[in-house]
Amino acid sequence: MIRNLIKKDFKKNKIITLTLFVFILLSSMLVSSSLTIVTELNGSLNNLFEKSKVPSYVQMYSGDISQAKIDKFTKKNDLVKHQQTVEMLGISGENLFLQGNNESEVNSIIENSFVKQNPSFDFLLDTNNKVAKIADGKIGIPVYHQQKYNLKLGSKVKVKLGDYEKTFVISAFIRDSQMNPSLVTSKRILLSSHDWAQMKKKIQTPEYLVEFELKNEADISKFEKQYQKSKLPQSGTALTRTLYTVLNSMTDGIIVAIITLISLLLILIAALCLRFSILTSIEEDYREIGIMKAIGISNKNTKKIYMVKYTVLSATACLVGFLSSILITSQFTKSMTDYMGTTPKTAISYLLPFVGSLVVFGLVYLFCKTVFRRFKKISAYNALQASETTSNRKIARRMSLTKKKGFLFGPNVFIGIRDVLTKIKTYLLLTVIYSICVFLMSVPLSFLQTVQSPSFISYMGAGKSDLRIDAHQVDKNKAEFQKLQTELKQNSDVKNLVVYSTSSYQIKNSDGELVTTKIESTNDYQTYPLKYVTGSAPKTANEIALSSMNADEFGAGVGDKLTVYNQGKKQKLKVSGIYQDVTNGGKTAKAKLSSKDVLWYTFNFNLKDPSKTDEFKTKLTKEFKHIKVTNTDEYIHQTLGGIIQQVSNISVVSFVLAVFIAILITFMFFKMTIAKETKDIAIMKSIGISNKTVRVQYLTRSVMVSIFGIVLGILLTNLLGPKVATLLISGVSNLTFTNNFVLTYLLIPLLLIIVATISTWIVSSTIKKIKVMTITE
Amino acid sequence: MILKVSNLSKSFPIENMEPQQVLKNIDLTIDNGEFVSIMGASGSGKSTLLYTISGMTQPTSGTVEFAGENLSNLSEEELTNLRLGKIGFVFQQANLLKNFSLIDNVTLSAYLGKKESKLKIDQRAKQLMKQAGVSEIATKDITQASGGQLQRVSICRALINQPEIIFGDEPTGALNSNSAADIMKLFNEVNQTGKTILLVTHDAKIASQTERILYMSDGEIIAERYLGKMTDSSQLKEREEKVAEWLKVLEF
Repeated sequence: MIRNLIKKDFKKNKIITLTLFVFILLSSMLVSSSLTIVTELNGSLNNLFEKSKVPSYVQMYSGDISQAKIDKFTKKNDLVKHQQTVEMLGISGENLFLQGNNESEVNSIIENSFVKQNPSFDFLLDTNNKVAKIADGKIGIPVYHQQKYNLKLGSKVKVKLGDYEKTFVISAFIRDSQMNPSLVTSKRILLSSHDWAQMKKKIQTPEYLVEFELKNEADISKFEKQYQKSKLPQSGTALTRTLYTVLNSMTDGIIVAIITLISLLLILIAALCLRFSILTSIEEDYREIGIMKAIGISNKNTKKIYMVKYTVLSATACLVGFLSSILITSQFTKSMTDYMGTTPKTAISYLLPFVGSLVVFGLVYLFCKTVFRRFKKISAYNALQASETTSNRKIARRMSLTKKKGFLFGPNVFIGIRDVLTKIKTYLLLTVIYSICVFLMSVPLSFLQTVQSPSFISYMGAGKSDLRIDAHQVDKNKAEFQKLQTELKQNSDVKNLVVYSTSSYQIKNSDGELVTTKIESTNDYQTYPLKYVTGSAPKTANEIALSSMNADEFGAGVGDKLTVYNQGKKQKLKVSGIYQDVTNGGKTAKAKLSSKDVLWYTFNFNLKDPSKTDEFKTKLTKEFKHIKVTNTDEYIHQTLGGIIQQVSNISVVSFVLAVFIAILITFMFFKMTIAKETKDIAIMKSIGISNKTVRVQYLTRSVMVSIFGIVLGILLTNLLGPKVATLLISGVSNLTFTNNFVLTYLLIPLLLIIVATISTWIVSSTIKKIKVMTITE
Repeated sequence: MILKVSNLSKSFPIENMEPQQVLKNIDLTIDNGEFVSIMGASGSGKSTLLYTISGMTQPTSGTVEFAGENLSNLSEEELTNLRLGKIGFVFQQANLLKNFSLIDNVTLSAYLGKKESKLKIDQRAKQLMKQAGVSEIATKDITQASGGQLQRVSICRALINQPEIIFGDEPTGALNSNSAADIMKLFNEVNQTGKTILLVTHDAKIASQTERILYMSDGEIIAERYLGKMTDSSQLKEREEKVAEWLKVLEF
């Protein structure tokens, strides 16, 4: 009997049932997919870290190094399991020809270094996650380059350094647990020990990674403090396993966050559709429900009859959703698979997504049960006497046709508007759907535009300027840097030059311990401002601004005072602001201090003619050998390229999904509304009102509701969009959207109104089929 | 002559069975200004005849000519225009739109027909409702009126566009005797203004107030009785007796 009931209901309400099915299916599929991605990301990352034996703590350093001192420190330290110092032979872009031809990497911001395979940990892996072995004449290229240039095994890579010129054949693509992500601008290229030794003869100034593998990963922060207290190299960036985890998961994490957000919105849409569908069927069957009550069938049993349909529908949709998630997840995890590899599937890799689908089913089931509580309110007498009317009588009276002096857009449009206003509750579903659609269309696009905008860099710890110069190893290149500063000051093409100097200081943390911290100083934080999470840049010499990671480390908030030791002198500085930083390992600070021992300088400046940026950069790079010049636009493009691509893909999917949702729900909504109002339509036809006139009334309702929804959606996007985007790129707070006015306020609304109009016009064609004789049925 | 029906048949298809013929080769003419009623037992086809000749549904064969025009040749749009301007219909149930006040129900089709100014339409609606004795509840909702009042409003709605003919399908069928009498009084007044009226009823009392009675059985008009116009309510009893006697003969 129940099978027949469901069959009959499906035949009667095909579109509605299919719409509900699709939304529950999509919700279940996306929840399952995001859980699959999380499981796979976790598995892949752990596998990569395990196979490569990722270091617990790494100090980057360029300059003279004493391995004996490091060995002495290691020997004394109980926390360390292994130590190794990796020697990296940095090569300038103009000397490297990754595509085998004559096109060098001169315009790339990537800093490439040649290494040989490490002996005890921090292994560079091949695409089978095995320790890569490179023969003489062969080369291992990072996956990043493989993806960027679509390189193949057997392709050639040329290195040209003065009189040294050698062509290598690619024999492996390298997964590097430290430098995999596009956010990390350094990349390691693997050579055989022999080739590496040959190249070392040509590159005199290697960079070092002083790496430590700890016995227990939980001791990283304890070790970090011990290292900072030692006299070992400190002037470069220090990195920890935690940061590697964050960097490696960032791109996929954003995908997970966006998919989760979309699936939550879909669950909301499914719930709203269910509510509408249930209330409509209650309204349609009002008399039948009354009869059931009158003949003594309990509420519980009546509810059961109705619940069967929704239980079967949602259970099937959730199951299909789960199964389809298995098929589609590979689309989302391609980049993860390329960069980190996969792990064999375990029971948990299926169980967790299945539980996700089960939760969606549970939510839908509970929601339906809640809506069906309405049965209690229906009295047998009322149900048998009259049909339920859902309109607001007060508004209906106020908007009486005869009370109006005239109709601005004609009586038909007035009737359409009146219908929406008297049945606001009913139209709420469509209004909310349209606002969700605006949200789904605008937020990823605005987010994309914000991330693509050159000023986005100011959310990540660097001020926005046309060019930025990093000048390290000050002690060795003092004369060169002074010359650089003088030249920049005198150059008429340069404007707004600001020089930042970074020195090492000691700050007392909340436990009273002294922590070595690099503080950047300048007198001008206004020309190239950063976006602060809270507070602002230091304005006086008694203030300090901290990066989020350092604020956490010191347990300090805005207004707190920190004790800073500057060359033995104690100074109390008030925290003026906290900012997000991905540069220099994320642990930075800004103040207006002065120190004789400058570790590095940073120069930010604009050009009078910004079109000359590349030309100016090349000129500087040629003239000054020990500096790194970065074009900010290029930097954004190359570091955030991966994320921008992912967000861009998601924007397209989200945009299409929103249009699909708008079409489907408009169809479903008006199909049900027309079915519910069949008798009223037949009455109108009987008194000579044409099909076209009735259809225009429905069109008016649809356009009006879509406009309401769009306005609400734009408000929501502006209010919540930046907050949602902030959640997606955790830590970057107070994000202000770079909105595309034409897109957000014109094109998206226009598109949605067109979607509403066309969908309603098509679905309202069924009005033609309604016979006047329906009145007598 | 406003209506001419020739050789009209209507069948309804039944799944896996022969179609059921409800109307069989009916010929009928109605003159301008006539007040005609159709009687017959349940299932005799009287309502189907009414809906077919009023253009609400198409005949299987035969023709219906309304003011010289064959309804079968009219498009859906032309039929709609006919219903808007020339035909008024009153159902057994008032069938008013729930979301509108009583007066809005009356004026709606006129507003949407856009043939007259709003002022004129409003004036006529008020006048009609006054004549029907429902002007005091004009702005009320349909839930605030009795069955008889609703039916009177539906007659006003049928009259708003000044149609040439009014069709009524058991318009007093769901009403008590007092309300039914009021409705018939109203129909008589309307007929006196020159409008043609064609009613379906199973009530002899109602039929006796009309000018001519057609009697249907098994899809055919088997008898016809001309009573002439009722000019005074004092004639009612005598007319009722005549009809009762006529029916007695027919039904045995």
